[in-house]
Amino acid sequence: MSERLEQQLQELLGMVGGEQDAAAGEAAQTRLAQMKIVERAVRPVLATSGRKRKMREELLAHLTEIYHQEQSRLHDPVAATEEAGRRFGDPVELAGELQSAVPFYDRMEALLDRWFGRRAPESALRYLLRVTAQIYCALFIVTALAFALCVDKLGWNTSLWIAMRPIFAIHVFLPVAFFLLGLLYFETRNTMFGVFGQRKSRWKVLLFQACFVIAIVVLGCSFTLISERSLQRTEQMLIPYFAIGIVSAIGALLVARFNGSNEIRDAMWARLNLET
Amino acid sequence: MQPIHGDKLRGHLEMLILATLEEGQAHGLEIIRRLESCGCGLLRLKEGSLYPALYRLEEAGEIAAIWEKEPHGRRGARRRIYRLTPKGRRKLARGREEWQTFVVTLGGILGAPA
Repeated sequence: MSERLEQQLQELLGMVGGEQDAAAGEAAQTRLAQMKIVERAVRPVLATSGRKRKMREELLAHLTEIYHQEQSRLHDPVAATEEAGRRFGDPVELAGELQSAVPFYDRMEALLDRWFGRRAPESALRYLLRVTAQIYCALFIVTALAFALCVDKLGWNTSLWIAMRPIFAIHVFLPVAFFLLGLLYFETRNTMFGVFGQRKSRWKVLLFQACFVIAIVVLGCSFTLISERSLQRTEQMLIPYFAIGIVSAIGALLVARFNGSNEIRDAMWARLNLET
Repeated sequence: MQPIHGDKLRGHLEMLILATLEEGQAHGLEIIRRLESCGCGLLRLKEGSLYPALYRLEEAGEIAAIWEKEPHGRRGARRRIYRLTPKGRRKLARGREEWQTFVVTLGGILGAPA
């Protein structure tokens, strides 16, 4: 793990309930070692991120508690960590036991998550590119089938092209919208919490929100222009798109505010290098 | 007497957890402490293994859990406090009857007193 990321992790320790003085070198290293023990047990488990988050926090709380017991007894952080690890048990065995406790529906949801969701420690950019490509492929198949069906039933004519134009426009704009708005969401979130290379800044958050609104207006108007080929119609849609943009930007802000810390926490856990 | 390790406890751990929670709600470490105390120090459980059993019981509705409101003192991440549900109490009562039958039956075969 890079020095910057480790510093962020130490700051993050406050988000997982760590001591205020956890930034101090030895305490942070001990905490990192505990987190690695827990992550060795939890990472291989096929379960939804919410369930794994619960496992991580609870197991970390337990391991921390027994570490403190051993530290009080042994007065040696290294020995206390080893003894706490011994009491805790083999993470590989524990992973198997934890897996057996995950219900079937949760495993299925986790499999869907794995295909369509973010695969930690995948970067936000890679995740967005991957899902954008998936959306393109899915839309291409649907569009191609719909087009083929229409041509087969109705034959090729101009009215068919006019009817299909919105569908083609969705094919172009939906993946672009997903990518762009997704990127703005992650930048907003990272700036809100001051992680992953962003400094905390209210002004930057507001700027990203403004970009969110502008992106929705531009994409919406472009979609209307292409699908309906009417400048007048596009002008009429300006205010509705602006309203949608405002509502969406506020929605994204709220999601970042209430879910952002969980997402960041999950990403940090996923970035732990378990080889060292 | 020889200590009893995790392998021998397999299959019984959930019932033991229900029995300890009958004393009152508790977090994971407290459950371990109660088990060790009631087991006269002969139970050797890998403490992490407690949690899969707790999760299975919770999924079955036999125990319920809530997060503690504040991280305890300076000690870090939050703990979950577990309590027995009415369904758990019924399972515990059934489990005790089955155990009595088991002990008496095997005791008769092995020639060991129940």
